[in-house]
Amino acid sequence: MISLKNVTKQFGSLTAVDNASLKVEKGEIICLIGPSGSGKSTLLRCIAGLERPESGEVYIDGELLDLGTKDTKKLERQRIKMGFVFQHFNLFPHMTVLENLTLAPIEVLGMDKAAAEQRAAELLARVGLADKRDAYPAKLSGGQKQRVAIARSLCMDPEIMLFDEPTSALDPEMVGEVLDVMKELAQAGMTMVLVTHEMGFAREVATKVIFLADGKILEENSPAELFQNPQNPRLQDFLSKVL
Amino acid sequence: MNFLENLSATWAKFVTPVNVTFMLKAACISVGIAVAALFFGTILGVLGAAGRISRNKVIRGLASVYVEVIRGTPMMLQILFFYLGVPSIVRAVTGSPWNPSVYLIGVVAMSINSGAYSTELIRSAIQAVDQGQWEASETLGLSYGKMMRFIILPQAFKRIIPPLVSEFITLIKDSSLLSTIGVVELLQSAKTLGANYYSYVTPLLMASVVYLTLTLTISRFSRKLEERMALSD
Ligand SMILES: Nc1ncnc2c1ncn2[C@@H]1O[C@H](COP(=O)(O)OP(=O)(O)OP(=O)(O)O)[C@@H](O)[C@H]1O
Ligand SMILES: [Mg+2]
Repeated sequence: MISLKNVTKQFGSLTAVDNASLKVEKGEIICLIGPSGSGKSTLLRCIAGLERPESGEVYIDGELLDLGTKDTKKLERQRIKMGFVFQHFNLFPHMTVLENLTLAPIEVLGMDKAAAEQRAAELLARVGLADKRDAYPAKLSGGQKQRVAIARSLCMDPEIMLFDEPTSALDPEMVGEVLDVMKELAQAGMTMVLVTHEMGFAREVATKVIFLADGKILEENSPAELFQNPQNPRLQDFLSKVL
Repeated sequence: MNFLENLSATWAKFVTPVNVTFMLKAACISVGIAVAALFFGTILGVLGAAGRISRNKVIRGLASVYVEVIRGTPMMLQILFFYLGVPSIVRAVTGSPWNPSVYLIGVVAMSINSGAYSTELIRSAIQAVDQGQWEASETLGLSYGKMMRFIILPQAFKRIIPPLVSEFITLIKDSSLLSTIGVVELLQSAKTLGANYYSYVTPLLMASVVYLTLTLTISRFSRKLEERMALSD
């Protein structure tokens, strides 16, 4: 579904992602873990087309993701196969929750307003926020904002959802409500790639866990194997600190 | 006592219906020129800002040159350039004389001047919109134009209004520079009255009162507007 071939991303002299290759198959739930600054976000942003790698390729359903292309229609078509959930939500503050959810379906997919609102209402109910449709984001708690952000991505009917530390900006008591929504998505069969510090979630939900350090993929395995039987000394060291 | 009597006597001499009408008409010219310059300047500013953040190097370069040249030279020089320079350039190129009205020259010169300042304030308002808003729009597949229209410009707009109001006030005051090329705006009307009576203190004070009434009203209005927009946040 998605494959990365030898992707390298540099910021000046700093190599944030170093020659990373990776495949994501339909239905997989892949967790990226690793110390701060190891390049997890950058790798995820390369998949989403938010960063342009210096070398290597990203393929979406076998098609090269080319950010420099003149064919912006094709790029948009590729982008909307992926939903992206940000650490800081990035809801549109000047729009109500409902408008946040319907803008892209109407403007990008060309849905009519009533159908878009119908679908938005269903998804809001799914994340438990049916009563917030007319609220502005500023009036919501962090956990509610993140659930709206997830619903906003789902409105575009993506084939895969990418999450960059979706719970890191939340107060501890709100982490659970967001993780629950993500678990429910996983159970419904959504393909997911997520960066997380929630090791419990990775262990419980992931089909594969990937460990990064210094921009390199150092180990990848099933959660059971990776957590019980880590091979790489950097991973052993990392796990001893976080578990 | 003597001085005060004197003052009220001159005041009575100047504040006649004819003189006041003359001055208020001139004030309308000042405001009219400022409104026109603000309008065309804002259009230039939107174009300039689009140029400054364009991905095309040449367009970006041209927009920067525009901003730097206008902001780096005196407005008086720009006005004189359009008044004295441009007509002779046109004559040299086309071979026939060209004598546009000083009002037209005034509006053109001030619009181009204002456009450079608006370019910068619109550009900075656009770039001040959180990076995350651009990224969220991109991942939702919004095209550049739709992202600007639905996400970025509405959020930039709030930041554009207050500085645009100060720009308007600046334009009202700076339109007085046009008195030097013969535009009968507010300051020129004071000079004319002064010349008629061989006394400048009172007409200049009268003009100051009118300028202050205009600028204070506008900035008051702007504060009200800001309060209302702050409420809707
Ligand atoms: N836009 C940028 N400009 C310059 N350097 C960057 C940029 N984004 C990331 N970096 C650097 O690249 C490296 C990898 O960053 P990245 O955000 O991918 O790490 P991370 O694993 O997500 O860390 P964290 O757990 O703290 O979020 C870091 O050293 C970071 O400082
Ligand atoms: Mg990160």
